[in-house]
Amino acid sequence: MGLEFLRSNGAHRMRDDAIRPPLLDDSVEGGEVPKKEQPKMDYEKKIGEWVPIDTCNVALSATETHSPKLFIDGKDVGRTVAWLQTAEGFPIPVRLSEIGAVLMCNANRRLQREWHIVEHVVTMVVEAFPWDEVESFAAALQAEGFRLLPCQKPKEGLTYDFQEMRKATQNRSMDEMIRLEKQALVQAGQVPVLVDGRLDPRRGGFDEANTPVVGMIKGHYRNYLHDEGWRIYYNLQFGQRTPAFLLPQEHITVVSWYLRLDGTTSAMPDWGIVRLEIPEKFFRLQLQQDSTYIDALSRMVCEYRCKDKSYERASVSLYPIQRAEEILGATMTGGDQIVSRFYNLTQL
Amino acid sequence: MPQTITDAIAELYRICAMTPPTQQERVVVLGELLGGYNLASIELASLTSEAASHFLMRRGAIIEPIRSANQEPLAGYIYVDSSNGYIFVERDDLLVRRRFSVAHEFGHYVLHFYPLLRAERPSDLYEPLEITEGLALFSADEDTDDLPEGRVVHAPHLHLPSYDQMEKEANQFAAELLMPAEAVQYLFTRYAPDCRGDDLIWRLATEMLVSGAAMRRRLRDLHLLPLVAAHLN
Repeated sequence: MGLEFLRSNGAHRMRDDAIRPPLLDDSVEGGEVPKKEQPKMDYEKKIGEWVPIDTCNVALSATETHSPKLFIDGKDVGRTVAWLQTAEGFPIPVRLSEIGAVLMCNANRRLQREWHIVEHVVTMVVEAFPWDEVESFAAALQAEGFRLLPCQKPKEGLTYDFQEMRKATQNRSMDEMIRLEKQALVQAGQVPVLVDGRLDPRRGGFDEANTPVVGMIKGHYRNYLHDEGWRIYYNLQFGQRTPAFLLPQEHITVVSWYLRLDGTTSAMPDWGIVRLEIPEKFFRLQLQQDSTYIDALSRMVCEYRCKDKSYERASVSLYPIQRAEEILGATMTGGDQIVSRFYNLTQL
Repeated sequence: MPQTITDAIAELYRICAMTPPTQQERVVVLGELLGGYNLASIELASLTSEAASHFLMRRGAIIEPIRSANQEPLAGYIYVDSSNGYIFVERDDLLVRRRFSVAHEFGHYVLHFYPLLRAERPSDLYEPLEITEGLALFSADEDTDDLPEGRVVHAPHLHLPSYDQMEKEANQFAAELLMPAEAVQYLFTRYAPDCRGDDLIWRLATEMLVSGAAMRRRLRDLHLLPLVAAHLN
């Protein structure tokens, strides 16, 4: 059977699905819903006393020891390249992707790549197929340098909704990319590091009591703020932040706040705002909840903001993260080449 | 006659004229190994020994129902007589568990039943040789560390080790077959510097197409689990 698995199960090629909207709401990256507790909004300022906090003029010295020297970004470049059906007719998308993570270091104002990893993975729901066929397919893929990522069925079981199945597959591949970012976090050790994304899915890659780690979230999938907070949020000026609040997540609790990175007024009112988070344990044990750290860190993040307006996400990105993305992209083989090889190997 | 499970697995590869997994190709192709012993593998939904018995009767593989058959839900089941061998597995189980169930039943065949079949002399066949083993369902929790237990049923004149010993050996066989020590050691050395705790276990598990729980047990057997735990701190 081996690589013929797809063809013998009637798989069809699929053209580029990049025009589809991202479907991340169930992934660890997008699933910001705390399972146990709600945010504690009066952590830094009492409700009723919330005002924007200006960080433009704070001294950076407060973050000197703990300010990020390393930056981590991950990339999942791939698409659904084929689909097949189970004996019962359920559609099964096959996603082929290159996933990777990179660790960038700011050495004397010069960004350089410290460590990186890139892997080729094939992601699909395998549960509906005979174990021996899948096993043989996985072994044959491994021999060709691909790793099969078995994807769990969607929560409600297999469905005839192709997009639902595609979402589950894409999320699985994205989750594996986050695991690679965790490997990058391990490489960072105790050096202060900023990671592009939430900290909770990347737990285990850092020591939440001792590692100065910062998560930066560009997309806001969930409302944490109260009415007063929202009014402040929309009116934040460049370099201003909201008061910090406590955000208990599924596995770790973080201290979080919103910061405006881009003051452009013509864009949507929430454009240019990022959410930052640091482990509550670290903030409490190492910094004794000193909010000047939050101010100085916010200012430092503003200093690192991406000024290249030709970059699509410049308003919510940092220059080191943009460079990390570029460097990682250059390390990857490139979509068409890998897809052609896959079609050739599987004779699709 | 192989002395240890490791020897039995080496012998298995020799009989099947296959090469054991390498550092580059780590997913064990269990399906092909079964073929080497002329064992058939069948996936049935809602597997019970009774369902397996009905299946074999419909196929004409047996002419009377299996005597010990009942309706207890099972993860795996093996039926062996002097001319046939069938391994059944619960179709709705996770793929990684299905593989482990098959490997477990295969372990019974290689370690306990096959030697009997080879030793059986025509004069011994005063009653038909028939052995079955049913492996109970796994816990619903994917990551549970508990192994399901099986139950061998055979004619009293057949000399087999105790149930407990056979179960232990079948589980050990499954673990050693699907996760060869050399491959696990290699992967551990390769990924331990970058992956911590559960991430390391998960990584190794996906590399070998086994469950996280199975990999955790294997690392414990190989005395690597304390090292994984140390990586957590």
